[in-house]
Amino acid sequence: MELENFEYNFINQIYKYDGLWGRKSKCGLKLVNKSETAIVIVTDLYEENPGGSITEFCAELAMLICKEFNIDNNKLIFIHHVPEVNSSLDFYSEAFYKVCFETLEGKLQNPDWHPLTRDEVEKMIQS
Amino acid sequence: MKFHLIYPSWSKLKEQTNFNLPPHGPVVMAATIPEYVNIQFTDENVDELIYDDSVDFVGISMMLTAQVKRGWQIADKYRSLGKKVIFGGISTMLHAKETQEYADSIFLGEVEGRMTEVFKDFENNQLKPVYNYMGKHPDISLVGTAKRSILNREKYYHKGIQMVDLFHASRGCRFNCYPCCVSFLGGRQFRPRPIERVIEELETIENNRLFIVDNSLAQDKEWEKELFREMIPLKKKWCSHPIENDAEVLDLAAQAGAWYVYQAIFDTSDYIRKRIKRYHDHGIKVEGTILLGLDNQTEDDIYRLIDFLLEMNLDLAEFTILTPFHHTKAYDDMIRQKRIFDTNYDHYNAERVVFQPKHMSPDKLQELYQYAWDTFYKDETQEQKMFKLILDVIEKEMRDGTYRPRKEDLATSTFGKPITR
Repeated sequence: MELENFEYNFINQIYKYDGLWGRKSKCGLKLVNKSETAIVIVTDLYEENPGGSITEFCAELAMLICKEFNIDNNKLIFIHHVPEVNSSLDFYSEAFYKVCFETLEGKLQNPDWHPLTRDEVEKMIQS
Repeated sequence: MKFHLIYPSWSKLKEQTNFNLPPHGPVVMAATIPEYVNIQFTDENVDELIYDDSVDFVGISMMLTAQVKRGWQIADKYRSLGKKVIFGGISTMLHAKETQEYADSIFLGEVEGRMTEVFKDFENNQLKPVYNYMGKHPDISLVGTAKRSILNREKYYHKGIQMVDLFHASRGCRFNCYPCCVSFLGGRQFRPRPIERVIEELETIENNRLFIVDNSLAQDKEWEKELFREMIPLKKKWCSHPIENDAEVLDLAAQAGAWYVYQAIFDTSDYIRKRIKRYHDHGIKVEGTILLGLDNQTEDDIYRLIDFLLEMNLDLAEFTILTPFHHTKAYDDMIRQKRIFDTNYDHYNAERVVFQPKHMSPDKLQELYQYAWDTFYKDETQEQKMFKLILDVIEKEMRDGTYRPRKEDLATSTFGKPITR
């Protein structure tokens, strides 16, 4: 199959990429591609990720995913999922963020995180 | 060739008794530099920095975020004199992109086996803008004995008493703690140095008192036991980060010269209570390291924590304020939540609130930080508590015949400066 122009409708996988300073990194990736929007959810993998965090590579990661899966930047809704780990400490509870970027010289830059609830994310996927 | 290696100064915790330890990163790096290079080392915390026009090449080694801006300033000055400047060390890795603006070259990663290339490139006028070895760890057996001969030894004495020497027995850390960037820097795989190499290095250190700087010794119980067994005959006395919570390991640690540990105290649980008691039962003193401002701490929690510390009969305590260092989960969370309001790295020495705490105002947290230091040291000052720790190690040394009296010719100076009364 010719993948160059292939349009992905749904993906749920571990995504491996060269992160900050080329470090081998991993995140969870869910893609729901619809007519008007392409929802990309990237999930921090903590101990399973040998590289750096999503946060410090967010714009670059969004561009890598858009390029690899033929996603139009204008359709992109990029969601950063920080999963729950079994800890009694507040700072390990689950969080979702919609990440907005500026497009400068054709590149996504300056990520800006906006909190979302799990319900809001689910509604976004189902709508 | 003359290479000026510089360790920039930073602002120390005001509440803490002033001390300067011989830095570790520069001596580890110096050991990997080709023999033909003449290293001139300046630790700006104890030495005046003199910009030397006769040097060929300049290296700036930065460990802390609080050193970064000073490092950049030094580079600006040296580059204005036409010298090429390379940066390396932990904080270069944490602030790599920003540091590039002030550098001819940056070195990212661990240095063993890689410095010959850098110096050859420099001599051929082909210095690369980045030497990127992030995540590409060298064979751990290549880590040799640090080159401590570059240190100006007499600058690390206080009233004739020599400060501890630093060394490391492993790299990497299997833990990935919320405020810590070690997993980003050294990886999550624990990489112990071959024990014979560690012992070989320890035998060369002309100091009976040491600080094992490994992030945590509690990584691999069998390795830890073997390390301590091999250290027993050396009769060194040392402090370290936590030791495995296991009677056999603690017993071996005590025999190997464990003097005191830095133990993070994050709550008032029985676990912490028992952990401290266990160290004390083995004759090991405890300096509690207490981080204030975590999201699970309310004002009342901090008051209760300090009461708890006083009950615990801790030997020493160091209070710091949570600081969102780059490449930590703390930083990631706070940047996403837009809670960082101060990005002046000179303020990142862990005594200033640079973020919005979850359960109180920044001013309140700053006030509680001060309250913590004042309350803990109210009945017995820090100097008195430190003196007791020194007496403890002297007693241990007297028992095994390793005690060395203080240097009388340095008894009236502190870190190279005369004591003024």
